[in-house]
Amino acid sequence: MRAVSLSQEPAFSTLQSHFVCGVKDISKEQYAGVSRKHQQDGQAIRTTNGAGPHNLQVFMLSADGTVLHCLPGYWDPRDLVYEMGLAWQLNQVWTDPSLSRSQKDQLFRQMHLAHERQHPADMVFRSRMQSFDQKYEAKHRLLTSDTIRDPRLITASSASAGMLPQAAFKTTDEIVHERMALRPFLPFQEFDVASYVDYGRPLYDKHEDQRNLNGQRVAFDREGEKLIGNTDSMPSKRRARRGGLGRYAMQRGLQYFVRHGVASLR
Amino acid sequence: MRRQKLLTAALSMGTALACWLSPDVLAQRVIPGYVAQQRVARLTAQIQWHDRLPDALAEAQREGKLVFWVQMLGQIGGAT
Repeated sequence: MRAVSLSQEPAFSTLQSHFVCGVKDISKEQYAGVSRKHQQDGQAIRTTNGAGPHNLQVFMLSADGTVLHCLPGYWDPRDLVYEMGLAWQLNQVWTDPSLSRSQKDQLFRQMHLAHERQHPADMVFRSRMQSFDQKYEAKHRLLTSDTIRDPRLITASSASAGMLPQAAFKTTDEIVHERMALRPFLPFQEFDVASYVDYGRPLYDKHEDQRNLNGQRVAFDREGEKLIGNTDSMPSKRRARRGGLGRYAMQRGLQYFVRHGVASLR
Repeated sequence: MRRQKLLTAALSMGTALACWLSPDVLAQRVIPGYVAQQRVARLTAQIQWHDRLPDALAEAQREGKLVFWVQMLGQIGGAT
């Protein structure tokens, strides 16, 4: 995010002009996820809004430490600035002496939900949950997850062995505003980060350093590569290996299907 | 037979298009390591990053700004 999003306009200028910035390493926090270790000169990759929620969180706070907004994971610089605008509006509400506390909390919820409804279509498109996170939610929390809009669509696609339908899931921009709207204005110390950022699997890895510049993966994992974060949250190696093989078989099947389909045109 | 081939081809093209249009695939644009390094250098050189929240809040109160507090695996200017 630091290379892809925060350093890019319009986010960079907005940060310089309107915010005081701070950073904390959460590698040892219980709610942290897991990532492969990337060096400073390692490759970076653009991803979708809200990707990697356990590994990265951005808080926008009033000067007294009240949480105005929290964005889990990566966010596109354009969308980040759009959400910064909401934080500024919420700060006006929070610091308005003419409003009672209950009025402020009510406005907090209303403004988060209203903002989500006004998101531009391209932002919504950039906010689709990563497919591996969708699979995780469908597998572990089909009937309880607030990230799933319609569990019946997932059940139906599973029965036909099809891909998970996008329509079954909420977008991440929708999820974050709905979750924020469940909370009143809270001091940072009282904000329940663990439950707020809890969607998708703990491991986020796009294999950035294993891709060529076209994005194709040209290298594969080696035993003993260093991971950072809360590795206790990872599934066991045996289960991970089984999942990896399944994924590999699916990819090869798709490649075979596409290749033979193209060949049949000849 | 020809109809079946056309159907297979159409399905295959549809699958390929769906994969190509998927946000995961669309979003996978790689930024070379030297560019990423330059961007990180700019971010850390031109913006002061507090490592204590009370310090950031005190500065925000003095300057009438909000606080942008990032929590991440690793360091903003180092390995992540």
